[in-house]
Amino acid sequence: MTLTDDLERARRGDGRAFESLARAHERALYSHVARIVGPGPDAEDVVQDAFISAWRSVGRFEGTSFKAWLFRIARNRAIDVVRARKRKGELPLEPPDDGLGTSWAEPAAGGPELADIASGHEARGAVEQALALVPVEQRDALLLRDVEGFSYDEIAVITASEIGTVKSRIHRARLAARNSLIARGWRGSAG
Amino acid sequence: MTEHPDQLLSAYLDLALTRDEGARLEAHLAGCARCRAHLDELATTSRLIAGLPVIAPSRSLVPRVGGAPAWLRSVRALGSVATGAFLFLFLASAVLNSGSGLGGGTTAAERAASQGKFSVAASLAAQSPGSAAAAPAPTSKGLAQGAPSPSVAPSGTLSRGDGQGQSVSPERARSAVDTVERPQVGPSPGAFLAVALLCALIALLAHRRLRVA
Repeated sequence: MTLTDDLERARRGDGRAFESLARAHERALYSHVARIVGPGPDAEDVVQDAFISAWRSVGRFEGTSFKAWLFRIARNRAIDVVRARKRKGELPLEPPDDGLGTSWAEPAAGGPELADIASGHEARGAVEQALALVPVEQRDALLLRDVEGFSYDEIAVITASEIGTVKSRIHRARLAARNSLIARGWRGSAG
Repeated sequence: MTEHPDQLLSAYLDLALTRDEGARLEAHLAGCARCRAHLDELATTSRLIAGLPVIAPSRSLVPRVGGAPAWLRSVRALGSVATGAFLFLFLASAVLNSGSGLGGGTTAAERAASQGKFSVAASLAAQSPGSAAAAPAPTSKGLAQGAPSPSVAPSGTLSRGDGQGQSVSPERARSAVDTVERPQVGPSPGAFLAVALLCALIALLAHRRLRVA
């Protein structure tokens, strides 16, 4: 039974087919949401709510990418959670824009190349921390591109943004992540 | 292209530029080591992010929206019926084994007692095979020495074997009747109640699963 078959059956009200679809995307969806709101109960609630919302409206789904549609529902809820936390003062309104995503930090001489630190648990932790410093909507767009492989057009639909905005967000987020790693001692490819 | 086209580097990596934009950028890259280095760095950053491990949730997040198995409906119906049946058996068993509430009791002694024939009741109770009054206590010296068994006098008094009549008070007769160990009718009521509760639990669980679905 393919995902396309499952989608057709789910649209006709087949709950088991929907469960099969949801299971196919569960981990990716949770992983994405966890990198926006942080791993834990909030991220789990967001994903579960997104699934329930999707189940209630899957009969009206007419798009071509169920995955993109699921991500749109889930990321909207995740962004809402982040905004609610900011309103409550649990988070700063936005990480200070200190040029992390607009200018190129100069790597220190003698540091390891990024490719060298790419392997290993510590390197992954460094990348996670670098991502956490990226403003949430830029991070969202970058993850949708680099981790999930969505096209710019799909990301524009998922985030309800213009293509130009998507391009700008992805570039700024990638540059910010690169600069964070530079700040950790990476010397870059030109070092 | 005199300025460095930094804003286009990521889109170039992601094949999101138009053909003209791509051609112009490639022309710039051919003569700009700085932009080539930055492009490499962005590509490596992208690969690092793409290689991040998937974060797994601590529990299943997929809601149960699939239809419940068809046999659950049968289980629910059967459980409900069985609960009612075993509750009925429990009540019936409790009434039969208590012997009260229906008037007259279930043994001859109880019927006699209810009619005011206390001496007869006491006598019947004493003759009852399960009666503690009829069973000679091993330590009772008098009974062990073959004391004469009591008999019922026509006058309604309990007379001993030596011919001396002895009237029996209602309290004593009731006490004697109460000491009769009534025979058990079927399984104990508690067993019926336990099975009824088990059936109710099964029916409830099936109902909840059906409701969620």
